[in-house]
Amino acid sequence: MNYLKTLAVAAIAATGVTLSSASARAMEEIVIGYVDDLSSLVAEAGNDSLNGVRIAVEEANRAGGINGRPIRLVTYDGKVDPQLTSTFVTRVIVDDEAIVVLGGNVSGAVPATIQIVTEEMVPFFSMSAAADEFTDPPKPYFFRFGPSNSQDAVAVADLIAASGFETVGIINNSLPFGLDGANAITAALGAHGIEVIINETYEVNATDLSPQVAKLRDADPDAIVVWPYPADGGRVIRTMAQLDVDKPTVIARVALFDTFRELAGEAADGVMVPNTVDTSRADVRAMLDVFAERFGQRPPTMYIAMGYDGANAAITALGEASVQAAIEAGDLHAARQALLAAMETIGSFESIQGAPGNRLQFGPGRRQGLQGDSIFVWAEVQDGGLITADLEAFAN
Amino acid sequence: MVTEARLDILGILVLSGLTNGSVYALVGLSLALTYGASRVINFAQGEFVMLGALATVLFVTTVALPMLVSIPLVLVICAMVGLMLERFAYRPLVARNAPPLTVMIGTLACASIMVGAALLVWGPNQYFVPNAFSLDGITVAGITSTPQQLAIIASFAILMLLIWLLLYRTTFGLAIRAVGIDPEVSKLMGIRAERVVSFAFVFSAVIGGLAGILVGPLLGGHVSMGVVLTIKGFMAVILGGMGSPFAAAAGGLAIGLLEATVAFYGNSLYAEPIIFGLILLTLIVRPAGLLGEWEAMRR
Repeated sequence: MNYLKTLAVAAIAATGVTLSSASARAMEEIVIGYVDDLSSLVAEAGNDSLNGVRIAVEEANRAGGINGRPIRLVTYDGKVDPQLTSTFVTRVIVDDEAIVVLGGNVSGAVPATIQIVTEEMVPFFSMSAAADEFTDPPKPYFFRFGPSNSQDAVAVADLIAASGFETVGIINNSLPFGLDGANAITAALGAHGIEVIINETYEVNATDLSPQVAKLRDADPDAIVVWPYPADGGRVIRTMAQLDVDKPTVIARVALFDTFRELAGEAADGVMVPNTVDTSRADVRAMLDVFAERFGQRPPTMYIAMGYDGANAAITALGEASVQAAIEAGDLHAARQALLAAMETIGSFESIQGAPGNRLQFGPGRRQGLQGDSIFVWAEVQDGGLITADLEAFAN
Repeated sequence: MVTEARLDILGILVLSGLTNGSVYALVGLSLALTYGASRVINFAQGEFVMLGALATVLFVTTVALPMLVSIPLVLVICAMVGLMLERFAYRPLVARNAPPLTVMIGTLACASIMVGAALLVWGPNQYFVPNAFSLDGITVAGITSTPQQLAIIASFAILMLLIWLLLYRTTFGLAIRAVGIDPEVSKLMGIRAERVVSFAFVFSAVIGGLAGILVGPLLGGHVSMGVVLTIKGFMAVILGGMGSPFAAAAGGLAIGLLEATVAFYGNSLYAEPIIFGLILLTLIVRPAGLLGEWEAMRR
């Protein structure tokens, strides 16, 4: 019996030592979590953003970390599965003791993530999940670094209005990104007095989209807006060419991916794509050069920029005195709360998205970082690549 | 003029329905072939479509082999993986008297392993799958399509003919049907039932691989593309009738045509609930599926 008691006391003591040393270890380094789709349908976006985060973290660590503490990036692949994403978000918060979690390229997984980070009181920096409801009304622990659907929609509507088109047809996939995007574009076009005369939705894995495109053709709109994922976007554009639907066309940001352009082929020439990455900016080019050297050549997608911006904002906020004091004291909860407060008190963060000098703006009640009308630059698909858009040619 | 326009729409709907339906039918008939011989639904069937599409990327894009050389290589790889599935998952489970549900979970595990292995080889990005036939539009009798899409329909039709000849005009086909009806009695009649089951797995894998080669250029190649196709193929099997490749194929075509019709006259958003509702109604009226009883009589 005495032996058992001694064993129990020793076990409790050992657990205490382990816990205290784990806590001390956690404060010797700063953990940033990244949970996103890294292997499923949205993996191209997830990996681009993750690699953008890696570049920012490596730069910070090369510069000596934050007040001498190195940053450790912990990553998990939540695929497009909300349940799996929730499990990994909980794990990175509870087991890995991340002070801040990044990720969120999958709209479908974001609501569950918001619930967890709110319960655990941990700031979450989201990338491209664009549904407006995530930031309007604002959620205290949720910060977005990419454009929202309504911002995309306003940019699309502005371009179409400036081009003098009066009627529009929208075709989108049946995923949340497609449905929410179509609603936002309809509302933004309505503000310009432009009528959406047809809105077609299709199942993302359908091999043939002729019925939907035939309806679009028969409606005969002045311009067409396509809101797809990369591969189905390629099928829409190809089917449009097959059915002789030759209209000025705007497509969602997914057209920045190679997959879309390879699948669409020559049929995609002249299609307009909103991007937040302005490659005429010297700082953007420099960052993309580093990215290419580290991870190989990639198209200049906004997903890379979102990751880089998000990680740099986190690093800036982590450097605040209040956050550092909490880290010094080994108080993880206080560090997370201090980081949340720092995001609001600092408010303005450097960004490689949008026009030169554009900054991310956060504050009390403001969780959408990109603001104003200098966010987007228009790209045009040409010969399988991306060029600076010719807006006049689009209007004519 | 109005009639011409309606005929154009009818042509588009039929062609679209046949294209989508042929893909579902190819997966459905390969599921039914395996089920017919082993009484097991192979939940890894869609993964052979993925393997076919991504192996085409490997041979044509990465290794730069001609398409005509690549296609047999892709089919051989699919056949080998199909044989491995039968030898290392199906056969050991059946040898230990595992119930069919357990064996099906075994095939589900194989599906996950195949996706994981594909992830290691090809990574998470979506690929453009090189096309065996042109993707440029051609107009025949006023209806526009692509040779690649027409090849899907033609391949399906040719495969149906080949399977019919195999099942009803050869002794081996008679053995396949006998094993499908009663494996124990067929063994007593001297039929080597395990060989028939091996053949069913390998042949189904090859059909899946062929479907991947054909549909890959349209869908894009991705490690997770198989799951949805397995579900659609399974829907085709249930609607058409279990156990017969022809009934499953009919189910696949019916789903494809229904999808195209709902997409044009309604909204694709509601296509799946409508199709599932119709499947439920069909099964209430005909529990064995559209052609299940007829096929059972034929056998």
